[in-house]
Amino acid sequence: MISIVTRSNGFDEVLRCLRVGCSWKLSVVAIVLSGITQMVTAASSIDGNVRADVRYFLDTSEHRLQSNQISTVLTIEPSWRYESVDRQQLFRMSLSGRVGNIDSQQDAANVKELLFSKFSDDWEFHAGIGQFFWGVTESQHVVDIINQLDLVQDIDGEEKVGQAVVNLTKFTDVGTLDLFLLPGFQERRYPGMKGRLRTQLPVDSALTRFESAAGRHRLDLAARVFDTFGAGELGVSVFSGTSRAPQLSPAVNAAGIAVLAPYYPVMFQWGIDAQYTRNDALWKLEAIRRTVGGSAYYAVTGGIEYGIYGIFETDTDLSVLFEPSFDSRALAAGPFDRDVFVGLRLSFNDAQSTEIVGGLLADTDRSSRMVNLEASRRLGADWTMKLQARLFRNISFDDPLSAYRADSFVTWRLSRFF
Amino acid sequence: MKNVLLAVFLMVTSSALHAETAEEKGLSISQEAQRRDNGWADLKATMVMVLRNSRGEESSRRVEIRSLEVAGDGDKSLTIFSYPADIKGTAFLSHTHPTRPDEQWLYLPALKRIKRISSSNKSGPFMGSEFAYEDLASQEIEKYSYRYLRNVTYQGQDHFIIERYPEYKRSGYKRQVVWLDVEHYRVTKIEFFDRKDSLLKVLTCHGYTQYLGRYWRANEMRMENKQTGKSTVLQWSDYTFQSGLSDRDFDRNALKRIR
Repeated sequence: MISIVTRSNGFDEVLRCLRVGCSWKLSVVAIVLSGITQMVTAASSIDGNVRADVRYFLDTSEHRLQSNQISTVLTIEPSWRYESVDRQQLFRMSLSGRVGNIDSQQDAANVKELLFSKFSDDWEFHAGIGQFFWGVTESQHVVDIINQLDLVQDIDGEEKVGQAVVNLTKFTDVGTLDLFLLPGFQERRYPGMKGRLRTQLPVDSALTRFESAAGRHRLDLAARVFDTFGAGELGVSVFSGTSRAPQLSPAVNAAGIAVLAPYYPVMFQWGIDAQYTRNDALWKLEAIRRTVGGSAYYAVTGGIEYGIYGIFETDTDLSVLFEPSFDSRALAAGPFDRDVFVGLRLSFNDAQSTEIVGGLLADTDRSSRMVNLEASRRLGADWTMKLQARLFRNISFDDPLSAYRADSFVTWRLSRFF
Repeated sequence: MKNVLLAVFLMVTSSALHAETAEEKGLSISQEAQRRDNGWADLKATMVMVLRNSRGEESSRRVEIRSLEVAGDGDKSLTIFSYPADIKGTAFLSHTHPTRPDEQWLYLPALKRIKRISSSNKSGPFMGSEFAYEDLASQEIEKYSYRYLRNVTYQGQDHFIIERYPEYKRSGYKRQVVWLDVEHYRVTKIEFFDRKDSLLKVLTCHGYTQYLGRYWRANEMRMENKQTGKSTVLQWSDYTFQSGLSDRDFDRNALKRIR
């Protein structure tokens, strides 16, 4: 279940909205525009990065028509920021564009953020396209739900697509209360026929179906309460809307080719995320109860991140992570049904910020193993370099990762920041 | 005449009865330094760090620092990284406490993620520099025990020299020897001794400037590591006091406004 960045974006949604004239959406746009025009004297800044990813696959491809070439992707991510002098209003924009050599689906443009914010003493208002993160664990993010994932560069789920949003944050006696209106849904994009790290049968987005009669225009809702209690932190969240992950089922498309058809059900999710920080240990827990199509399931990730500072009397810090995961479905839609993640992070704390990260995801009732290794450092002042290896080993045929069995890779990334 | 004799007698006996120990004098000097620096309310400043390794190669960092004075508790501080560009927008929020552990959060702008982190890493280097986290943290009185050593003339000015011993866990130091000028109680030099009591680092503070007619701040701080030959220079600029920062500017949500 690999998907890649969607080319549509929330900005289209705003434009569509302007055309069809939905009144509350228009008033939000009006607030955003008035805020922007008030920032004539605002402080502004531009920054971003350009990067190249060169990816070599260790094994010959397994799926029909899949490429065996070295994949090269060029990405540019500029961002702008304007803040009013009184710091009450903020406008942020962050774009992403990329081109690749293997598969036309690698080419993508995305509005990651186009967000107007207004701040007051006991509330905040955000409207536009935004990115949000809920959660505490490292190996996967079960609670995090607002944004569609952008999995084109990697399958780790850390890259996201901007989501059209109206968000009100209120600071209350019971913590920080966040309310979200989420108009406009973004589908996952999947690699094309030639792409690596794809499903066994390619996904045909022309066959996309939605449970909601409103399709991708359903208004989704979410809310979250978060509070800090000394060493503890607790978030409780609820989401009602179209599932960000589709169900994929075999079909034959118009050209008579066997493909997977995506179906996006409506779901309801309760989530909690909690962390307790004591001495060198961070104790973490994320859990959800999700109802899809009348049946409910649970998913839990939790564990410990333990820091050892200044190992062997050097400046190097070592963090050890241990995170088991559980999913109540018999065969989970993801690789985290009954799995254990073990991770190590070595931070050398040198002038180049050298870091080495290693992770192993092991299935406890199958032989499947996924290994991830990363080494990164700064070069001079404006460049960074990262080497990554991701290895799929002994992946059993009934594992959700089985489509990637031949897709172990090594990636070299060079980034220039400005 | 009789009254004068009585006064002299009282002075002699009271000082004999209450002979200040070296520990008491060390503490009272530190308390006086703290008292003179009270009431600054809030502060913004820019800090440029120039790191130099033993071969003389340099690299630099720039951070924006905001601090809030908290009555009856440790200060709050927000550190926003602005250079090198790859860490631009990363921010570090700290709520310090005199005795119980500090609360610390890190903001990772690429992920829009706020992560509560452990505050027990005191002795690790801050951004690869010769300054440890504990060197840059809010220096509350309760964090050390003190001992007055002697007075000396340093850089043409009368100075107290006191020793202080970290009372918090996980310090990288056994002790610090601190030079404060008698006139203004400003720290001009600190020698840091490692856990084995060998001289590790020497900090010197330069270019003190007075703000709001009261608060002294150094323009430059030089930290030399005597064991590795590396050094770090902190250049401070744009000191702004009492610009009206509030608790809201130092809460967890404030991190998300940075980038």
